[in-house]
Amino acid sequence: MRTEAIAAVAVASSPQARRRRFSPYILTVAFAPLIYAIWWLATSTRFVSPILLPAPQAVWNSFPRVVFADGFGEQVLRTLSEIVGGFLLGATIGFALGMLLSSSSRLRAAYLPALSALEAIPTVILAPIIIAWVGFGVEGKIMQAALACFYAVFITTLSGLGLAEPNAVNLMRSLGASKWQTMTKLRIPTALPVIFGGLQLGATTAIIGAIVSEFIGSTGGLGYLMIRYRGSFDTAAYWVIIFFFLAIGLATYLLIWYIEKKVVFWRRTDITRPDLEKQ
Amino acid sequence: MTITKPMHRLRPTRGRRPSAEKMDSGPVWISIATIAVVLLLWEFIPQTGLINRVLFPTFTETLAGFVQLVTSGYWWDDLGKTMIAVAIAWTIGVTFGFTMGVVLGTSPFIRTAITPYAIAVQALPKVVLAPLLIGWLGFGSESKIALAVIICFFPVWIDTMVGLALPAANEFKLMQSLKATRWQIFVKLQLPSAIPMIMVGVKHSLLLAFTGVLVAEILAASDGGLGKLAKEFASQLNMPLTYSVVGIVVILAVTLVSIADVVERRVVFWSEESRTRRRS
Repeated sequence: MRTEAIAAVAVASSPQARRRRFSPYILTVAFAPLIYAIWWLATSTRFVSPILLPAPQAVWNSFPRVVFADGFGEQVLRTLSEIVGGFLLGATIGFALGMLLSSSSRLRAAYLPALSALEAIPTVILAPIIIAWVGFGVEGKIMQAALACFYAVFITTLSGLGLAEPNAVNLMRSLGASKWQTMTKLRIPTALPVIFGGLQLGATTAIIGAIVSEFIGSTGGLGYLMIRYRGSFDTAAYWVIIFFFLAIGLATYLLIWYIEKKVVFWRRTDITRPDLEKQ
Repeated sequence: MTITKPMHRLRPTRGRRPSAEKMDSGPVWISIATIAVVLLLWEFIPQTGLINRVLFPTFTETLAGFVQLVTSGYWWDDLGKTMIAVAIAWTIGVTFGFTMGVVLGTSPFIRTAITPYAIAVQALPKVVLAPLLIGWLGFGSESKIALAVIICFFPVWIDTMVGLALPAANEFKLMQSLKATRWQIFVKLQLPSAIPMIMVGVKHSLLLAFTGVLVAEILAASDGGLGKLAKEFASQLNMPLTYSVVGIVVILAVTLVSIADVVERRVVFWSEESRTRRRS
C-alpha cells in the first residue's frame, strides 16, 4: 500500500540520514506555518481566485456555521453509512471471489483474464447507470462504493492466498489436514498482510465512489451539501466539508491500520512485495 | 527494509499460474460456456418481463444501440474530446509528479519531513475538488484537465520518491567511496533502480487521468465527452446507448492499460519484474 511505502522509505536510514543531528520532523512541524502563510498570501493578494480557495480565516470562521447547521449530523451519518456499507459489501464480494478463484486452477484460467480487465475500468462511468437503476437514494451510493473497492480486495486476496510456502502446504497435507484446515490455518494467515493492503486501498476508493456518486445526484449526504454550498458560492463552507473528508480519509486509514496491527500481530513489516519474496 | 508494491497493480504471482503442460482445454470451454450463458440470459430475461425492459434491454437491442452510436457522426467528437483531455492531463500530471518526486525524494531528510503531508494528501479523496474546479474554470476542457491532473500526479510523485530510495545503503556507500558526485549517484544509481517503480505510477496515473476526466464530464461538461454522453443517454433512459458508451469506455481503458504494459516491458527491460513476466 502506498502510504506504508512512503512511511517505510521515510524510516529507512540511508547513510546521509544517519549523520543528521536533528530530527527531520522539526521540518515537518515547520512546514505547517509555511503552508498556512502561503495559503494566506495567495488568497489575500487574490493570486488564487476566492471561488476556488477562500482565506484560511474565512474557512475557520465557517466551521461552527456548517457544523451546527440543521441536519448536519444526519448528512455526515448518511455519507458514513454509504462508505461503510459500500466498503463492507465490496470487500466481502472481493474476498469471497478471491477465495473461490484461488481454490481451483481451472476457474482461475477461465475467469481471471476477464476479471483482471476489471482493473482498468474507471467505475465512475457506471454512476449514470446506477442512478438510472435505483435512483438518488443511499442504495445507489453503496453500490457505487462497493464497485469502486471490490477489485483491490479481490486481487489481493487471490495473490495473498497463493503466497503460502509449498513446503508448508505439503506439511499440512502430510499431517492429514483437510482443505478447509489448510485454508484457515495456513493460507489465510499468510495472506492477511497482503489482504489488509487491499483493504486500505479499497477503503480509499470506496470513499471516492461514494462522493462522486453523491456529486452526480443525491438527496442528501456531505457531497449533496457541497454541491449546495457551491451553488450559493459559499466556498468557505465548502472547504469546511473538504476538511471533513480529509478527516474521514485519515480516520479510515488509521482504523484499518489499527485493526491490522491487532489481527496480524505476529508480523511487524507491513505489506511485503509478494512477487519479490518469491524470488 | 521491505518495499511495498502498490496493490492496484498487483497481479497474481507466477507460482499460481497453471504451467503450460498442465493447461488443458477445460478452462477455455468454461469461459465460452459462461459467455454464452450470460448472453442468453441477457437476451431472454428482459423478454420474460421479470425485469424492467427499459432499464435492461436485451442483448440484441444493446447491440443495435452500439451500431447506432458508432455510425452516428457526433460520437467521434466526444471520443476525441475525452481522449485529448486524458492525454494532456496525463502528460502534465506525470511531468509534475516526477519533478516533485525528484525534488522532494533525492534528499532523505526532506523525504522524511514531508511524509506526514504525503499521507494527508493521499488520504484526501481529491475528487472533492471537482465541483470547485468546474465552478472556477467553467464547463470546458480546462476543468476536466485540472481535475485529472490533481488526481493523477499523486502516484507518480510517490512512486518516484519511493523508487529513488530503493538502492541499499551499501550501494550509496560504494558510489561515494568511488567519488561519485551527487548527480552521478542520481543518474547512474537512483534513477535506473527507480524507473520500474515510476513506470508503475505512470501506468496507474493513466487510469486516474481517465477517471478524472470522466468525473468532470459526468458532473458538468457542456463541452462534450464520453462521460457527458453516458450521463445524457442515461437521463433519457436510453439504456442501449448508455451501455454502449460504457462498453466503449471499458474497451478504451483495457486497451490503454495493455499498451502501457507493453511499453513498460520495453522501457524497463532490466527490471526483475518485467524479466520474470516475459519468461512466464
